[in-house]
Amino acid sequence: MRRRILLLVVGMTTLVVVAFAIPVGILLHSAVAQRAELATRDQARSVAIFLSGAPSTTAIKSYVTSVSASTGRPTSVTLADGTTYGTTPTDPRAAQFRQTPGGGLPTNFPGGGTGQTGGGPNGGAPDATLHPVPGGQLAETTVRTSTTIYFIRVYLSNGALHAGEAKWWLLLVGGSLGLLLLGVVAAELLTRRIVRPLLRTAETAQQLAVGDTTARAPTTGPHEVAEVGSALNRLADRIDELIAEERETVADLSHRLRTPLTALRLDAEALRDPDDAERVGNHVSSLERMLTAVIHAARRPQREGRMPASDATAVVGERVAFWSALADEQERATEVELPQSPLPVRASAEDLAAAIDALLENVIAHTPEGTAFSVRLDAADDGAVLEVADAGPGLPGDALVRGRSDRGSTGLGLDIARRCAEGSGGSMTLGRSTTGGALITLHLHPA
Amino acid sequence: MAMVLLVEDDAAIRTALTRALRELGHGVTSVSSGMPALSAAVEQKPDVVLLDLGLPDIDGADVLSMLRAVSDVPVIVATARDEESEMVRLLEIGADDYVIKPFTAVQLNARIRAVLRRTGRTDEDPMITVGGLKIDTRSYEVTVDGRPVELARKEFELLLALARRAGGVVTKRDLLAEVWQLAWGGSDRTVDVHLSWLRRKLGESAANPRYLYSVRGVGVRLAAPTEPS
Repeated sequence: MRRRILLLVVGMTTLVVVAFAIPVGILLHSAVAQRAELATRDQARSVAIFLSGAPSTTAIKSYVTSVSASTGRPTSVTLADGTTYGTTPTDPRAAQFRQTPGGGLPTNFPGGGTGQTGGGPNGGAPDATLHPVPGGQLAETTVRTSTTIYFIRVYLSNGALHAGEAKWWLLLVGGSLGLLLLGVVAAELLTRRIVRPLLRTAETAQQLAVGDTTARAPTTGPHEVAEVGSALNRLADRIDELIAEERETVADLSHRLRTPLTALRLDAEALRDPDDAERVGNHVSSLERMLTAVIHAARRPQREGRMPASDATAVVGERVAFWSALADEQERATEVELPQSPLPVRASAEDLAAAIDALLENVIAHTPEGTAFSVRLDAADDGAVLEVADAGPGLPGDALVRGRSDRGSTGLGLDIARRCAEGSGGSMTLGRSTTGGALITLHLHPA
Repeated sequence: MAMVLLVEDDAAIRTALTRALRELGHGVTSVSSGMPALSAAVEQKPDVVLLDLGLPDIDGADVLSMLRAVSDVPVIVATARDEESEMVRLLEIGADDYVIKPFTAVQLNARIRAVLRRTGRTDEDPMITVGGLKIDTRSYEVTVDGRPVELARKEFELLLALARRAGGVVTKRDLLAEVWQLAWGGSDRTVDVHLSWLRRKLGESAANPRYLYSVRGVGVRLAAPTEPS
């Protein structure tokens, strides 16, 4: 779209500039020529005026030389006797033509000591006429004094005819290009104003699509574009509402399940056979845990906001300290490495603590007393990496293959940790520690 | 041991709870809705009321308010909702304690006893003494040989649960039920780690126990030290 608007503006500007510049160029061309012709004739007249004062031969010579040099138009003066000062290309045909009427109309040139120049047929100052000659034009006039008659010629070459035109053309082309540039800049600004908010709106839609329901589009820019943004925002708000409603319904239904579950638990407790009581009790317990997890998950956004965050350094430190009492008691060598500074991650403190508890509990439950373990938290480019390693027998092979483990009395241990890591946008990997024990790594997304 | 008025609309729970509480030695009267509950509370003067919030006629919270207007009988609310705000609201309108569904009879019994103790409606001695260990169940103060011990809430509850059955082995399952209300993810290790802290704070260790003895595979026993260490 940006390219199209740009092309459109450039095209339109070019058309306008061309439509304006061509006639201006033609006018310019003829105006410059006219001016040069006028100046040539004026020059011839000036020379005529000068000559009418009957100057000395030396004065004529130097005058003609200086005029030729200063105007760049060769000027020549030919006396009646044929003596010529200065050089101009002559048109023999024209010279002859001048000779005849010039010589034949002496009465029409009343010379005088007054300095009044003789005139042509119009009786005013002797007006020069232009004749084409090879390579240019020749302005010719005559002036008659009491003593002689001068033929004046000023040569205007074709090159000089259009001299000075280049700078006008330069101005015209420069102005046109300037206008074009202005159009491009204006188009660029305009498209930015339109396209930028649109691009960001598209980006917002992408974010919404990948599940970031906090994303909102900008409502700036031209009215219609802003309208697109706010429409998308309204849609996102509505999605939020619907999700919240759904979650509330799920939570509510799950709450209601707790009543029959209570009856079940009480009845299970009352079973006569203690084995039956325990077995049924265990089933009820796991049902209960599931239900609590469902309610917990449904209520999560309401509890934590849409983007939970916590300081991994603080949470890990606190939980490790909590378990240290039991670790000490079991004479386990514990190695803890935490970063010096807070490390914000995208998980609630509650979830992260539950994940760490689950991992540490796993270590304690599944390695013999006295087995060493280590906890390392490191900042990574993409968040935080938490490693819990032990020197125990390691994870069962199938746990590594399937990437999940059911070990742990609750069967939920690693699942809790995995959910926490994945919920933050990270992952959990299972591996073997350097001592051959279990190594569980949580990658947590930064907050 | 105590006269319990059970207000519960779910027949299955009512039957089961009545039976369980009777087995635990309580006298139980049960009603299934709000209005009979109010009159029973006034007429029969129970020691404690167990009130379910979802009643068919009046909302449980309203029953509680109405009850508070005429009686100061201790009330334990049974609720399916576990949000903190809900708990605070219930306690503010006059509940003495709450249990979250699904609860067990053991848990409920512990709550009943705690409430009775707090409100002074029990003949139980508020001081529990095991050797040099003294637990004041009203002020939540613990001393060992006269030296005060600072305990976190769960640690105190754990110690209390053990001290009440001093000399006997208490299973970790019972402790989880009574102290932790069987929270999700609750496992034996939860009990273990709290026991470690308790030992540390009482000034002993698993290797050199004075009061707290782990009985492998069974549970934990709290007993007075046999010989001064």
